[in-house]
Amino acid sequence: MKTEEADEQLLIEAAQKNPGRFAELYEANFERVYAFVVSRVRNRDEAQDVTAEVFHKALAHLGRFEWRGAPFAAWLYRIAANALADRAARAAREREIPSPDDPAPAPDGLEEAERRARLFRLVRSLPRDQHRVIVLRFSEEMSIREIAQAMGRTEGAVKQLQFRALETLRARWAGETGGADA
Amino acid sequence: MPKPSLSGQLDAALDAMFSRRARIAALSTEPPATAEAQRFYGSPGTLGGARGSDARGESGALPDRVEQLLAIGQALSDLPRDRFRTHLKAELERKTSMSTSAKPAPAKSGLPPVPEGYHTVTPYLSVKGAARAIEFYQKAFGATEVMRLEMPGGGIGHAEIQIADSRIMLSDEFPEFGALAPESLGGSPVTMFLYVESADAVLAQAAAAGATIDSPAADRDYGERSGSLTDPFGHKWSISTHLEDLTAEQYQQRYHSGPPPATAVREASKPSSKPVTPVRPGFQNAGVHVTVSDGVQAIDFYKRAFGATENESMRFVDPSGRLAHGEITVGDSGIMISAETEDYNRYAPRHFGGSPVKMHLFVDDVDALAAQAITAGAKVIRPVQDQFYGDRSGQLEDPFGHLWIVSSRIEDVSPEEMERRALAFMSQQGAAEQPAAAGGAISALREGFTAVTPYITVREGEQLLNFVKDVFGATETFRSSGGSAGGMHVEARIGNSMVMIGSGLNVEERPAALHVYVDDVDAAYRKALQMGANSLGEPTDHEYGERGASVKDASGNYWYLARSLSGPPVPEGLRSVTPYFHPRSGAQMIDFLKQAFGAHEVARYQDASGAIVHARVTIDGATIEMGEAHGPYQPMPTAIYLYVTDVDGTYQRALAAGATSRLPPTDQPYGDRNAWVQDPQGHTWYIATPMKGATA
Repeated sequence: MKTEEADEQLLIEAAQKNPGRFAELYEANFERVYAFVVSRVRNRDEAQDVTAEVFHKALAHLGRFEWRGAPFAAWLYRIAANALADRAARAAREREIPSPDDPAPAPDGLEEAERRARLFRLVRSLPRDQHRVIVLRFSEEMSIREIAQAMGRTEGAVKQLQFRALETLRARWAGETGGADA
Repeated sequence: MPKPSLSGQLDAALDAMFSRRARIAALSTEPPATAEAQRFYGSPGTLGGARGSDARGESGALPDRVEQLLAIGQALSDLPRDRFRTHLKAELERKTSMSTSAKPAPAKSGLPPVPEGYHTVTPYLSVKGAARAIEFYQKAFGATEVMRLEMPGGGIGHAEIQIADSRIMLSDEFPEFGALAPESLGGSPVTMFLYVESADAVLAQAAAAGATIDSPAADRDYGERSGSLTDPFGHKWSISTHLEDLTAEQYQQRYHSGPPPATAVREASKPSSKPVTPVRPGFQNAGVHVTVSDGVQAIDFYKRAFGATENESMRFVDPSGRLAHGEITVGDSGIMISAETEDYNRYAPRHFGGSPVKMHLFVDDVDALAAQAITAGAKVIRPVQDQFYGDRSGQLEDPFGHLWIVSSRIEDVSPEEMERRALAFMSQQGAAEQPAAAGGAISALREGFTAVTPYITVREGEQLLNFVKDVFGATETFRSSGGSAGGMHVEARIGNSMVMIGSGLNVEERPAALHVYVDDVDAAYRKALQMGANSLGEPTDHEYGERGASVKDASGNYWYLARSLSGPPVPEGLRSVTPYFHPRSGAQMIDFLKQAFGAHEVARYQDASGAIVHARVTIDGATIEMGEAHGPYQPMPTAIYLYVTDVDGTYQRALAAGATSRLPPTDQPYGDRNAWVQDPQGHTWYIATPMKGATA
């Protein structure tokens, strides 16, 4: 944990000096922001809009972030919570970017967002064919038939791959979260 | 009823979840406020919201194992799209690169998305006589040869030439790979554009090298001096020199002011005194101008499928609403688009039954792009897969009939290594096609085919094709139409098998009986009846371990639908589609197949009277089944396309075994040498071999 924090701190400092390094912060945090946002909006389009907004704001105000022990993710979560609140209220007024030592409580549901973010990242570790099936099925929302066509496999084979992929994910996810229910 | 497999149950539950999501998404115009939506979208602390039981719907209790996986599926249902992730990253990086020199994200492989020397879009020409064509392009357009891969039997498997800043790929014609030259198609729905220093000089050079000038160089009202030609191989080119930079208003003004004034088309022998730059801004030296049935729809499709952007000020619509000219950019490459019109001899691919120019598209993530294009309406011709030459690529057909090779470079392969791999690849292909016990006489030679392919000829080819697409999920892999009899020839893939369909008003109808393994007999059966088939037998479980049903389609073909009750739907070693004969004498039929084609008898089941109720033979590893004629199952004049190594020898053996000759061995213009015989039981056999290096 300590070294992770130290790594993150270095990363943030690097990105503050050279915004080109922001990509690394983005890579490290994309899934959690998306997972947090997506469970609070109606659809994919909105999830993408809000996620984009969060990172654009974070980049624009990165210089204001000061390392005070609270993880960078907490700051992103708060930007996200504000962006969502703005949407809901359709507030015309731009919210302030929270300062890192803002005493406002952290938004709810972070644990869940972290859990799902881990799952999203696990997808990338699947063997290629299983990975393709999961991506086509869940993020492209294609039918088994369409996937079979796209991959040149039978529908039965695709269903098998889907089954195996979910089994792999279940095992790895449970392993990572210390055997939490799935 | 056989119990559905776990993977099937899981998939059904996931389907229920997806349709539930879709229903809720359609209903919800407000943020998720209803209890149901809350449950569905999840409130903090629950796993993605819905519990398994919510999504399971009416399907009843699921095994624990499935229930657990369903929960994972629910958590995954919000999986972000990779292209959003990379797009946002690129957007952020663009912002930061204004203040730093950060480089754009490299592709996953670490290689740039578009390899050096290429543009995003590279035209790929099919040519009859590729070697001669390369010579011609050198003489006419000053092209340089970059590489060529020769096939062992002669002919060019792949070559690349460079014209100024543009790469062009080409190969000999390979009908079996759907690569047809303009000569075979009777023209082209793609005109190559070529920007040069002097259109006049290049047109003159090309004419000297053997091109036909269709329109001599002239100053055009759109600020170019240009002319057009057809090369000796049938490809069409427009050769232009960009003379003036016009504003969007000027372009529109000149287009809408009708035919240009006489002064605008002056016959100049030289380009105007101050050439701006010979290439139109936004274009490369060489590229494609595609003709489509509907230009506006096409632009919309290319935007959705390939992320193209349109230069809207270059959209010219004629008074009838037809797109006279449009321009899009894909990556760094400009593409011109026109709707078909007889006035300029512009026809869309379906007019020719294909296109001799494919578009090779280098992208960052070929899997994501293919998925996006398929969602937008593209058809898969070849699934995306790793290729020996270092690309991961697949082939798609757009809704207008144009072919796109989508590709990511995953590895840089040196020319020497490429050649080594090409040889290894080709010998491997050859080995895979050599069956263990073929009796030496026969070998399937065409990629994707086995030795035996049913060839169904009917009057209503489209109807039959729709039937096999809808009932069996068949994909069309090849089509040529407008042949001498105004008919068509289509090849389609069903599962791991190919079928050929021929049609036309004058064809001799040759319906077939076919044994087809499907994933779901009941669903296929219902679909078949919906598509106008008559039932010959309802879905039933048979004691030989298969669930089966039979239908007769509107063209008179019999389809025996089946799946194994245990194990994979297609039993090990069998194909999705197997021809089924109903000869009067099974014994004579089997004897003929042995003598003529070296068939092996695999199984023979006789009833008490000695009649053969079911038998199976293989020819070169490919199976033919039969049951002697009885009841509604009478002999059919089924035709089989049979790939062999020695057409002439096999033809002679077939005649010796009692067949009647209908056509002695002949070299066909479509690249096969074949002969045509009828066996004593009335089946037709096309004995064929693809001609190697059938180019010049």
